[in-house]
Amino acid sequence: MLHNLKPFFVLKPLVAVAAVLMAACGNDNSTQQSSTIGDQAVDVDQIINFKAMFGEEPYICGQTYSDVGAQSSDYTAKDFRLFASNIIAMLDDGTSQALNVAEDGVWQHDGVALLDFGHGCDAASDNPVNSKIEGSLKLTASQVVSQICFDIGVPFELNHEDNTLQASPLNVSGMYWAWQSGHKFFRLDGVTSAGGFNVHLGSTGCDSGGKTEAPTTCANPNRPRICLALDPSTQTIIVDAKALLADSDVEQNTPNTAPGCMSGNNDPECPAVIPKFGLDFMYIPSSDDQTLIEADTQSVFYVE
Amino acid sequence: MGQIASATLALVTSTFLLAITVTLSACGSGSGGTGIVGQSDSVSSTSSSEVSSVTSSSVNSVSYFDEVPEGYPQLPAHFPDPKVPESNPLTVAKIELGRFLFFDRNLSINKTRSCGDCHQPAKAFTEDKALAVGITPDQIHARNSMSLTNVAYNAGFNWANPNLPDLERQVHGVLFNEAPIELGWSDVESQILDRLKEDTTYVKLFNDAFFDASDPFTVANVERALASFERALISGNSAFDLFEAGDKTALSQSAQKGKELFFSEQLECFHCHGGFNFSQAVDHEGIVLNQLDFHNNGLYNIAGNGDYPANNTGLWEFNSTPSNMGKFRAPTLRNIALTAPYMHDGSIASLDEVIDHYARGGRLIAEGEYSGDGNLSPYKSELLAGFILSEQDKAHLKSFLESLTDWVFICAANLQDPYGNHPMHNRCAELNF
Repeated sequence: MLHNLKPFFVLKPLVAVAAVLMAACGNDNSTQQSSTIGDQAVDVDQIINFKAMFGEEPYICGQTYSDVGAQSSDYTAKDFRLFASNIIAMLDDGTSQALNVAEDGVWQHDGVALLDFGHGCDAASDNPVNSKIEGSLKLTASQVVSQICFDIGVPFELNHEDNTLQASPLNVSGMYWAWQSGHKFFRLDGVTSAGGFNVHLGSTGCDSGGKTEAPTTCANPNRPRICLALDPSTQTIIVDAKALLADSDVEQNTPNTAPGCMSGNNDPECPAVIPKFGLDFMYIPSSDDQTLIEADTQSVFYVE
Repeated sequence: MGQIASATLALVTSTFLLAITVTLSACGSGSGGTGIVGQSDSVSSTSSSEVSSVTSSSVNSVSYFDEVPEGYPQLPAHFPDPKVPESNPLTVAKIELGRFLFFDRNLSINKTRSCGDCHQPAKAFTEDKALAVGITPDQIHARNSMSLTNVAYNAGFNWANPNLPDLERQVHGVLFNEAPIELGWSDVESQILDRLKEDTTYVKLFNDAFFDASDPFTVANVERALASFERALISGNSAFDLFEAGDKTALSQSAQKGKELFFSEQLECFHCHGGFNFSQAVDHEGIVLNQLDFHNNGLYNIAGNGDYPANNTGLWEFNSTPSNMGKFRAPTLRNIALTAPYMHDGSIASLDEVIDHYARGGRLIAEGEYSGDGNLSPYKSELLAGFILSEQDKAHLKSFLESLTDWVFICAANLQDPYGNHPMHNRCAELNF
């Protein structure tokens, strides 16, 4: 495939590069001719780069960051991963197309990519990390990517399969969402002197029609859609954990609830977290009480 | 289908069990057993390779339940056939592998806990703690360890999860759950599989169980084997069953009176705890329409809102329709006398108190953060109307519940802990099947 040409890939596709790529595909040489002529669309490799940050500082698994959250706490980060899917490129001519996500056998499968900025640093481990999505678009010489949209999460139809039997990265067990059957879509784990404060985003309120069926609906899909103006050839998508935790007291956890916010609708730590993804959050502290916390303008993902 | 109950009584004496003499000696002595490889608390324990296992060389051309080998509980004649997923046919080899895995503390990442630590044979595969503890002592599970009696017939799994289609997926949760951590497999499953691969006992057991796999050491196969062991946990040989089969001496007069009370419209017990498994929420080969249902039995009514503690909201955790608050699946009552403490959170210590709870029609918590009268909960099952029983009738009812204990099941040789951490129930020696 085209992966071995990564160093050459360019986002504003030079015709010559496109021609090389075509040749690499093993296509007939005559296509070189036609692609150089002008507006015939050809497969062009794309890499969308991500970088995890805590404010101005890069995320490093195990590092302690100061001034985190509403109480300016010290917070030691231990895990930072997310799934991206349903990835669409908006082009400068007003058209859009789905990114053809490469099958790499590890990080990407069935249009879903796992970004792993580092986890498991408690033990001396050399866990591999991944901070990019690789794929291709069919572009003419004049078309340029202007915006990228993606969901944080695993699509519903893949999310509730038996994840033991799914292919990588859907079988990365740290992203299993065992209590609701499915996957964690976003995972940020960390501790303060007061204990753990984790953010696990995933679908909740999932219910199946019958025991032999996977869930048919989830009341709260919790798949944020992120759209960013982006030139992938020169720019990087920043994922800012500090922005996510900005309104949370990360040293506080309500007893009998998950440490931090694991998307539970009755978890008092979630109203300050979930809206940061640009999601509405229905806070239901009791069977007879619910409050809609409206989505913030998401500030966790931005382009640099 | 199953064989008649009396046939199972001879199970332990069979020569089929020659390979598990170690376990038998544990049974005979009623103590921790002799010669068993010590694995009890030691992280640096030796491998389990010295533990002998049931040999299972016979080819399984018939389904397991059609011809249950001795040492395992037979499928009673009055029980329907359990559903077994096509993707995981039930074989003796898988059950035996599952037994070793089930009781093996090496199956937890820090080698401290096994499935069997919370699900002990002598307690009908429960434990006496109110709340379960996994490998992290500081993370107490919100719920009580469920009985695995007849778990093959469950219409659903866990106390209130509507989304688990089979035991394989239920096991998956125990391995990979993180809040709380149970066995701690998340992100480290390859370490645990490598541990098993290095153990010659497991090399044989995995190859016997998954003989057509090029690499049998997979997460999926661990889940299949554990689910297979659990499907063998069949219990239908209690005094009550013998009585129903025609042995009128099997139940005491008191238990017979208790039986009438249990099945009366006055007490209404059988609405949720009815049928062959004393739980209406069953599944088996004959079931077409889903029988999974959930009930609120009036344990909590926090602040009069009907609320339950935030970490134990039952079905509401999955579907926040108000009426789902505090709804849990009715577990089987078979072997219930061995499974104290009771309820989803282990908050009732004894059968006497359970009867008092239902007699009152809900629990009154007078003070504290959970105060409220469960009897007045807006979400309580309408069947929980309360009743008045004399002390004598209460004793009868309790006698009946005690008659649901199945010693053939509890003492079944091939369901015991091969590592000796959890000895067979001490009554098994005196019963001497």
